[in-house]
Amino acid sequence: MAEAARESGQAPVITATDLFRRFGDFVAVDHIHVTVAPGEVFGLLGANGAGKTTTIRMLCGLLPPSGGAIELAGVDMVRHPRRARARLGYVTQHFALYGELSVRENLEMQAGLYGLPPGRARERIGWALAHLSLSRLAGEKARSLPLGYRRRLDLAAALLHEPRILFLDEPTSGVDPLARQQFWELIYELAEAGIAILVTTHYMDEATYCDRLALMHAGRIIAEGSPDDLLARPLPTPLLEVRGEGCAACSRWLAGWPEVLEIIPHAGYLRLRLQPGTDPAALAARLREEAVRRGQRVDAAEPVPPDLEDVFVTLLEEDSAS
Amino acid sequence: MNFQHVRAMARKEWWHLLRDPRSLALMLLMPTMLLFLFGYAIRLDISDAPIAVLDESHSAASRTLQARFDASHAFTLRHGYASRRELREALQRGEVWGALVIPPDYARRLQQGQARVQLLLDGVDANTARLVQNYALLVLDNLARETGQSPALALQDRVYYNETRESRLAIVPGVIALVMAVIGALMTSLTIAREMELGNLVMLRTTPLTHGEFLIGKLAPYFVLGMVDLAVATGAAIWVFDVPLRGSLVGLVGISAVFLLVVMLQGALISILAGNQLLASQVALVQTFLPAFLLSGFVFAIENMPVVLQYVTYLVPARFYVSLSKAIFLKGLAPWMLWSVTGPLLLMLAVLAALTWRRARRLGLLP
Repeated sequence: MAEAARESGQAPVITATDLFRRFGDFVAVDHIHVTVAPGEVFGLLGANGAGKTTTIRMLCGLLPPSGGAIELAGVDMVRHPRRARARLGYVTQHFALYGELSVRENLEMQAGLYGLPPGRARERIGWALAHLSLSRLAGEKARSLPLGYRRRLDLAAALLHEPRILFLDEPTSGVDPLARQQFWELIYELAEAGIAILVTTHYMDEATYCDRLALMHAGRIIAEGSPDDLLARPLPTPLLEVRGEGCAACSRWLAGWPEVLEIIPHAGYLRLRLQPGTDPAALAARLREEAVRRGQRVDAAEPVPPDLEDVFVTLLEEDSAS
Repeated sequence: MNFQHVRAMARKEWWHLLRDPRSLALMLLMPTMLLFLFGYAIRLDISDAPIAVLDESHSAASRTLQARFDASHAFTLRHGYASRRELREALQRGEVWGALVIPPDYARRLQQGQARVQLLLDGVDANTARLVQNYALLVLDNLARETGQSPALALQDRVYYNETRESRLAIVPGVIALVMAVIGALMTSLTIAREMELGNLVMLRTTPLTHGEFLIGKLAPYFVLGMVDLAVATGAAIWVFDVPLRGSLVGLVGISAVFLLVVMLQGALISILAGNQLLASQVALVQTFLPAFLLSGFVFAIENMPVVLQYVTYLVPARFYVSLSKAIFLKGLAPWMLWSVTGPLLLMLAVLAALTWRRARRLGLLP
């Protein structure tokens, strides 16, 4: 868990111990531990309702935990929220700045709320505008910006007071792929500058960008590690990829095969998850024969390594079963 | 309390205010509009009311009586009606507001000391009818006294503080209260609810802003604009409507500031409790504007209300402010001379401030 911190030789700046939150009878976050080191990008993954947002809200001090401890940059968040807040930046899931104000005015207001002296405020606003490519839009009303730029403005506002910790709650949801890519490049730059970043997402491709991941399910962290660690886990369910013009037609009869656990259709190919213990090579050979017999064209059917999504699906199934 | 936080909040609110043409129009046009509307349109006195005359007496005495009516600014006499039926028709058509009938035996009975004249009134507008009646009685009384006939009714024709008996003298100070209630409560009722509705509060919660800084920063711009409105309204009262300011200007400004704070806190409290703009503005309208209009004694005298309602008026801050601003304008008093009125306003200020402060804690900002 603390490998990353040990590797970088630095003490974690986010430490949540035994964090717990209930709403009435419903346990939203069930005794989790989270540590993030300076310069680390930590991803919190999970379906809606898994407890990601509740966790991030507790870490930011928006929601008092029902139990457990939170320490941010050495400050007890539960006991000294004011001091802790000065050390963190938070980008909310939805745009929460003022749409009627211009980009620059929003930043000026944020600088004031964090108590930056006027000279410092000017300097930081200049930096943020230039660094996040917002200079050209400084006079525009925030409401009129495209979504991707609005997220940049959110990020700029969260960075003015030079926080050591940045919380991003689904920062790229609804943003187009190119803008998402650019946003992640910014996140890397910030991490390189030594900021600890905790990000929630439900995009799997984004998960692979993180240094470390935690998968949440029903309020608990069911797996944690670097993307490579997680991918290296032996998967009980082998995978088979089928390509070819006829593969859409194949899926109809494949559904009847007992060895096939799940058929995941993609554009131009199928991904088959097989029952544990199945030999994928033997099944691939049978599949090709059957296709030939039925006169359907299949170019390739071969075993493939799992991706993160496969790993997570398996983990979630295992967790639900236990 | 970090002044910089307050300033950041207030500046943002100010930008919002200046950008939103609707709120700006409301704040600047509303006072002027209300002043002119109420200053000119509400008539609690009459002048040049058209009155038809049917003189059946044709005597020197009846001509004297007509001359008296004519000389009064309240009436303009219309002649040329031949019968009572014609008088009634004139009333029906609304040509005249009343009709005076001087019977044939008027001169003779006047000498015996029991003269009678008849006044026909158009009761459709009961208020105007009553006014015409009162004014006519007054004319008759004066005449009777001067000619040595002992009148049955002796009306004391002297009204203090509003010698010309112009209702606008009493109304204009009341309009100022109305203006301040609107600006204060309606505007502030929207402001906090807006942050809650649009989700800005979520962002503010992660900043080091405290709830006290938030409240003060939010309300400060409205206080400034409210005081500007006070200046506009007072200026218009003095120079456009010729209402004399006999008391202390400092006293007026001081007590107006207290009243403005009271209604602003009312608005803020409603805003926090309602949580959305639509509900907040409706509650604010019912809670502050209407009572300020109906229960403050501004148009309708509190003494004439049912007793229960009279007690209710003690909960209406505008009630105290209206009587205080009238006293300052017309009687030349200062707020510190009227503790029975100033006291309750200050008490309301303290209670509302405490309530709003406590409620604002639940906004989730830092304590």
